[in-house]
Amino acid sequence: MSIEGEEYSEIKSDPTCPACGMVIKVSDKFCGHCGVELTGEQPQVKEDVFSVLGPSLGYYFFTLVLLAIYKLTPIFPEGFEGLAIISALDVTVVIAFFIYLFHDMKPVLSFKGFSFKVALLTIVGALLGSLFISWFAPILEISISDDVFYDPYLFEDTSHPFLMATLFICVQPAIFEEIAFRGFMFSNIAKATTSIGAVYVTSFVFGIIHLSFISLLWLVPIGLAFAFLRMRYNIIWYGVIGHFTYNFGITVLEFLGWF
Amino acid sequence: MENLTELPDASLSACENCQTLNSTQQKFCTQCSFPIGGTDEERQIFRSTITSRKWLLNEAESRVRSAKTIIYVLAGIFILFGLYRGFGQDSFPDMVVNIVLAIVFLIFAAWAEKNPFGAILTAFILYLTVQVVNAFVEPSTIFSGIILKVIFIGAFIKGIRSAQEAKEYMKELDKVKAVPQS
Repeated sequence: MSIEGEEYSEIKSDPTCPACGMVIKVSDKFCGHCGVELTGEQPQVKEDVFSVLGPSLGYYFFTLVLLAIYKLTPIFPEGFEGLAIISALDVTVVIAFFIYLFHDMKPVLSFKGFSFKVALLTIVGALLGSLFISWFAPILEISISDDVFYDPYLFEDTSHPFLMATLFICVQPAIFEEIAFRGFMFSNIAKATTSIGAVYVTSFVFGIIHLSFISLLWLVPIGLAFAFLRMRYNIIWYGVIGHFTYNFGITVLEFLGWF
Repeated sequence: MENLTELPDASLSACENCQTLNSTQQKFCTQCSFPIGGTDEERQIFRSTITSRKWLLNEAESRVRSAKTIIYVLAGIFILFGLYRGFGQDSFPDMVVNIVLAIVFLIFAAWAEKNPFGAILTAFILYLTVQVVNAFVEPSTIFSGIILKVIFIGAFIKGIRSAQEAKEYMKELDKVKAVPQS
């Protein structure tokens, strides 16, 4: 008996074509009697790729213009006040897209299959990363604070500088950047290309939206790490944990003035 | 070949499109849906569908190639502009920024060989980001070289769309066992 024989033994009666009811074979890709496709794959309604990508491009360019106004024009107030306003705007935009794309977001927010081991490894990796970057950036003769949107001085005048820095530098980006880049943008772009393609695209745009040139050197790899975690485990929580740990590490080292 | 054990008495014939052996009682090839028992007209329709898909695939691939060319052209423009800023106007930081951008575009061009859709999309986003930043830093640059900018953006959009379409056409041709050798 041929190898196919085993395949047939599992199916008691011969399979039939769902369209015309004639007998078919398991190995058939098309029904020999009516020509209908048997792979079970329904021909998809083709949607224009730009209407698929619309939400991602919309979120990206809207946020880009907001950040460009904040960073490159004097429109926003200086110091903590400006930071608070841009953060509030950014969070609002993410929440709007989050609600609009909630259908895509639901599965990646699940805690099912959450592994503390992976979370712990992510924390260790993020801590090592923040140590390395805090040491590496001054070697490039640039301060990290020039390259992200925040400077410790922004928080000097607030009642609780360290708490405020933790909220605005660590908590807010960890939640909302992850929801945006590893959440709805990733799901959205993965619809148009492969998951691995979505990993590369979202990591790069995550890097450039920070509008800081040199920091692309580490922002893109950081984005890649979180995006791979998103692809591998299909949830955003490892990215949230890693992002918080990394930013918190940088902030603590900055406040300690170690590097 | 399993057909021989399954259908010992039936006579078999090879499909003209994909050479699979089919029972002569069948009207369609079970592997590629070619109408082996159909009329000449039905066969002709099948063949011309394949021909038209191949033609569409070629068209899409040529638009993808145009977008790839644009990425190389952009890399060249950034290098030249960077050198001009560095040596002509003594602005060393600008030179570094432009040359790094050129290198990033070259990386995208190389990536486009593997994933044309992802690479062209990302290059397009980077290109627009540079334009947005320039517009804020130097509002007067918005209209400089506007014709070139429109051409680049048009080629990017067509390239992204065509990269997606080419994948669809490849899938369809693969289903009917007519993937063109390239």
